Amino acid sequence: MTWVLILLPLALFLLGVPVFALLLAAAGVTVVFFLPMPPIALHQVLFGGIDKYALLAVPFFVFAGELMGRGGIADRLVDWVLSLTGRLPGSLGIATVGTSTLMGAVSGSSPATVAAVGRSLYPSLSERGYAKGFSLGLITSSGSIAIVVPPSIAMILYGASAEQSIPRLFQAGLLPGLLIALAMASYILVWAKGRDLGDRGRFGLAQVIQASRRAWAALLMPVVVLAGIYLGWFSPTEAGGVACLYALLLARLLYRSLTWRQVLESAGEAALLTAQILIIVAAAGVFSWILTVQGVPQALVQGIIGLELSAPLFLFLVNLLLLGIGCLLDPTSAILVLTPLLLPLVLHLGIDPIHFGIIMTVNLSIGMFTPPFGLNLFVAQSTLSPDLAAIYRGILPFLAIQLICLAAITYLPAISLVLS
Amino acid sequence: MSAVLRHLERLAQGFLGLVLIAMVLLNVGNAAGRYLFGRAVPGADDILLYSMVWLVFLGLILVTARRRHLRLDLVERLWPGRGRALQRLLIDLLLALLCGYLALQSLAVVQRLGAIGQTSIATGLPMAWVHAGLLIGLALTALVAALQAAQTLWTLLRGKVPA
Repeated sequence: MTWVLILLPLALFLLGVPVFALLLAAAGVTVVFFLPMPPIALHQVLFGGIDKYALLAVPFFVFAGELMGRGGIADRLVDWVLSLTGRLPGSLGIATVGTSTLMGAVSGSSPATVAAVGRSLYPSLSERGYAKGFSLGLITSSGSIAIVVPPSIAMILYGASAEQSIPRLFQAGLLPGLLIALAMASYILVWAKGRDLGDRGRFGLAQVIQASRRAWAALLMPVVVLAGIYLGWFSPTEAGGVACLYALLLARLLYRSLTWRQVLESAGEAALLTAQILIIVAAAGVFSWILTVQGVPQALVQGIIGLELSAPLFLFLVNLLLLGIGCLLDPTSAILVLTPLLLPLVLHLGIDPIHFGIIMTVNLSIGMFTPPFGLNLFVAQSTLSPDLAAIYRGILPFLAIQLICLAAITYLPAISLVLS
Repeated sequence: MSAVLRHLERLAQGFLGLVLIAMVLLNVGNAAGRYLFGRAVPGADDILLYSMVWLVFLGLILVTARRRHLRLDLVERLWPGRGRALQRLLIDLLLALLCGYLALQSLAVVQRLGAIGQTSIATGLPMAWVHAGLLIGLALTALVAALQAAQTLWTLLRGKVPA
């Protein structure tokens, strides 16, 4: 039966079959041909896969991200970050990282961040003399920070799959996200010294005040959402609803950047994105159920126990596995398929499941811009430049920086756990 | 014909957008009611959950119609033109078969739930209606995939490469 659960999904995946369909096909073939149970169980497990309150946060945060992207809120954040970094060498590059981090704290979506920040900053980066490859690599890789800083859709899915506290995961993601942002900004600072880039302005308090006045309401949004969760005013799911309403009021009433028709279009697009994600959640639930019924996680745990791996070696191997998978599979699918398999091993080796959730998220966020198939690469290609080779070259230094950060996050659990 | 279908798609997407906006209002209203009036909206959590189930399975139809599923697109990058058309045909046939089979299982569940008259404890909604979201979503997805397969096959048989 191994071929049905491993080789069949793998072959269908390589053939380009949608992820939800290959998971359901493997589960369906197993139930129909190998298991003595009625096939209507497939319906029950499929329904149970998304009948979870925590998952309601997904459509809400996706909708909030759509409203923020279309409502011109990214432009205000860019101006605000630029007003702060204006006197540093490479200020525009550092502003790109800063804005991506802020957008992540608002939308939780990496591709949306690449598209929104890229559209705002790529023309300016080119005008000021930043090399094409460098600019593309910078925008593509800094977008990945969005799924590490809270709120993060990837963490919501991990929390629902691993039955871990989503607020704790959000807290744990804050320092790793800032660490990655700081490391990238430091690299840009060193890289820009001695280069003749025309982006170095003067730091002026008046400029900061003016940009802050334009952006204060947008800057307040992550504060409201995250403070609301941590102070116990509302659950992460309700926070998603609050984020939507806040973004709607901002874009419709305060900035007047969206018409009601555009709001409805954003909601329709968010509904489609939700279906895209949650149908995989439902299908992964069925696949995980089959794996559990077949005793695969238990067999895997026994096999790894037999190898007598230490926790650090296990984490090293898991990082390699996740980086490899992250290049091929989107974080949603990867988290939902791998969490039920890896979590028993994590618990057996005494690794904190919250820390592991952060390791998994950072790995998969790196996968989002790792050649050849990281999703952000294609978002950058479709929104910024068709030159995929330049994007590939440009991401290499940022890939190296994020891998160093990943090593620190993996082997220094305090970075993740000190706030959670 | 294709203009009518596109119009229908836009209407369906607009409807799903309205459902999502209603969900946001109910979600925030529920939290606000707790603080302002000391009580939540009765059955709000159940209504939100069931709306999400319907949203996902109705959305599945549109995602399939627009070929926007998350997947690896290696084959079509390496093998464009006729190769990509054959791949699409295979995927559409698989989706039609798989979703059609699952829709039959859903039909059996909905019939059983209808026969025993099971209702949601919090809202009193018949559970057959709730589960019917899967039946309708899967059945229409199977239909859309089958139509797409037929269209691709027809184009290939005429010696053309589908767009």
